[in-house]
Amino acid sequence: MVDNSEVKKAADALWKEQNEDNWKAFAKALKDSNAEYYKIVFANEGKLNRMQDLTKSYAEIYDAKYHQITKIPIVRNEGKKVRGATIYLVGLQVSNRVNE
Amino acid sequence: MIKQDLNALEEKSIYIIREAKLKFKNIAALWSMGKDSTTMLALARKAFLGKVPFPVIHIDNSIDFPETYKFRQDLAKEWNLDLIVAQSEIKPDLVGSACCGKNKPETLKKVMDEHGFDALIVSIRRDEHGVRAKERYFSERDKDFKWDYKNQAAELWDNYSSKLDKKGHIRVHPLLDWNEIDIWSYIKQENIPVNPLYFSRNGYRYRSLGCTHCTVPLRSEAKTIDDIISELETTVDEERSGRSMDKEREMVMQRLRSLGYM
Amino acid sequence: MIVKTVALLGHKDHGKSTLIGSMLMQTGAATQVRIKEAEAYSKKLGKPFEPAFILDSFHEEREQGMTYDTTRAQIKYKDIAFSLIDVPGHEELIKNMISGASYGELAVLLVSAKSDEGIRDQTKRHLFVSRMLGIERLVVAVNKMDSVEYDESVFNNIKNGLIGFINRIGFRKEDVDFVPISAYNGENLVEKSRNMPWYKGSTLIDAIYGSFENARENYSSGALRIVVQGVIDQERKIIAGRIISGRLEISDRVDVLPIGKSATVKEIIVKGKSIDAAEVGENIAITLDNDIGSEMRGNIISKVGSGPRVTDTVNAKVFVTGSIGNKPSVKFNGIDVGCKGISVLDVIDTTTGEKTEGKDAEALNAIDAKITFDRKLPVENYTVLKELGRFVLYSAGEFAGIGIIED
Repeated sequence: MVDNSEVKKAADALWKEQNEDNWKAFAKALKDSNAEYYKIVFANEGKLNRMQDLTKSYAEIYDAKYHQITKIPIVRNEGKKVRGATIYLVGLQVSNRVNE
Repeated sequence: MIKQDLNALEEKSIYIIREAKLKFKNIAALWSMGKDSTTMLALARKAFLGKVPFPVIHIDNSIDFPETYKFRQDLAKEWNLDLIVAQSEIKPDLVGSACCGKNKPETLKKVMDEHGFDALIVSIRRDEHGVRAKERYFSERDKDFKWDYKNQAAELWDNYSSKLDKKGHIRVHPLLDWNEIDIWSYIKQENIPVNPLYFSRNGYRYRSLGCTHCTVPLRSEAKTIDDIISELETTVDEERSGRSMDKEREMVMQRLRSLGYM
Repeated sequence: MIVKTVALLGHKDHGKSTLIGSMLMQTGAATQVRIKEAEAYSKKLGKPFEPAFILDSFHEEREQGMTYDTTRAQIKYKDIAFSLIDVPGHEELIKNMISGASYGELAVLLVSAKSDEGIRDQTKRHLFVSRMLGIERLVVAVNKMDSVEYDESVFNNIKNGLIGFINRIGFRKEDVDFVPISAYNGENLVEKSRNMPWYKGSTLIDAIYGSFENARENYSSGALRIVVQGVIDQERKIIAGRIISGRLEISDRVDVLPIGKSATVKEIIVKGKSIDAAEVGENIAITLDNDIGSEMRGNIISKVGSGPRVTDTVNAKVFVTGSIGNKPSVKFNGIDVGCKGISVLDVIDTTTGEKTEGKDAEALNAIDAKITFDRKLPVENYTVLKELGRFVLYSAGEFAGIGIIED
């Protein structure tokens, strides 16, 4: 059985500090996990008025049975510059699941 | 929605793409990885013996769908595309609906200047919005990307404009005559690869694709191209139904902005 | 489905948008949702139901004060679909009208039956231009019959007043239909009106449909003519072009004009596939056994010895839209060609269709003119092959008119 502890750990690291190494480690751990789906949740009900609304937005990651594994930020916060990070989710599929 | 004669549409698009490539010194195309611009690339391959003969630009705000990135990666390799990824910045005060309207054109302007492109192929269709009824196949844009629709060059008898304002460019629209249903019928006929987001997952699918923020899925059970085609056959103006007038107005403004008109 | 393009001419106030709205409703192209929206919007403005509000973008336009007042409506009828192009009227530049109408395969002219809204000179000019653009069939819809109590004599007066002009500018009698309608009430559009029992002809949509049913043959049986777009592969010398008439087969001996070289066709590629023969309308890529060079754009390929005439002087009818000056230039099959001179032979009043004395090419008139190009071109008379018999005129870079070659 595949262990998802590595990807969880990598995601936690991202919440603490976003840097090149942490993102790379996450991408690798994601490949080795049994993650299948993602779902993007925008902060402030999707009304992105301030940069904060974007930096607080995240992607939930699920396995094939829609059990949530972890969540990660969807933008790379690099001081003054902010870049999106959804490219690190390549390989996953959008879930479109309505919240139960 | 009316399904048109695919052969006639295809011939006209091939003619226009060839005209564009042969008339301009330095032409590029916009590629959003959506169904329309991917269909345009398939047509360009037909027109130019299997090879897309110009660079393709993706304006990437870096929060596109992962599926879209995967699709970009795979098709760029398979079709040997000369891909230019232009990173568009996300500015704090310009996220949300203003993002497509302002950030993307700014980035495009920059990349066009850097490469000195004098023409740009854009895969818009007339049936997307009434405002496009006045678009020409070859449409002039000034240095600020503004479109003076009242004073456009005459376009008739297969004579297209090549007049260039010093810093402006020509937008070329080879898919102007196509309807949404024609695109899907052609994708099926030609077996053109498409982004998986167009197909239903858990009761929703995406009818048009932007980035993760401004794109909303619609309720649909269409899981295959055939499903989408039959869905569209019975659709007249699904996109508008169920919206209140006020909401509608807001959507219109947003769409016009994202279409680059405001 | 085959889609035919219909150019809708006429003054804005004569009910063009209302006509399109009603047609969309009656052919089922407008949803209940759209109709309800139009109802609600009419009510909001305190007006009775206005079919024009069904049009896509119509209320957006009003709300936003944006004036993109054209729309493209597609209507399905029997086995054909019609794309209605709303041709811009007086509120826009004539070049926009010409560009729009040039895609029309049939024209529908909307005229109001109201006495104070009779046909205007500008509408007559638009008809004149449409005929020059190659539109051969015309349906005149006499609108607002409800406001003249469905009076047959009003309809006949308008018909009699127009028919002479219409024939004079080149529409054949059998190619013109007159239909009395009420766009607002939806009468004689798709369903026959009970208020006009004196009218025995077809409804508007049947008149349009009938026009396409009877449309004349295209050029598939004509002599081979390929317009060359250019060389798309310099190494392999692959030439791209479109067959505008006739049929091309491998091993055909062909002439390339005006370059004046002959060659044999080695390979024909259509949509990426090598084939033995290609037909009219197809965009082809070919290789020849003889190097013609890379400057081929605008050349015409024909079967050897049966090419178009190559000349630097033509007699043409020109509709003038601006100052043409002494040395205009033309766009001809995608290439720009300078003119050494243009001399006016006579002037045609485009509101009457009659030739008048004069040597001046004034805007919005037409002229018969002798034009000398700065090089030899492969041309045909317009009546023989449209594509090789027409050009767009420019003066100092500005659009100045359109011309058709008569001799």
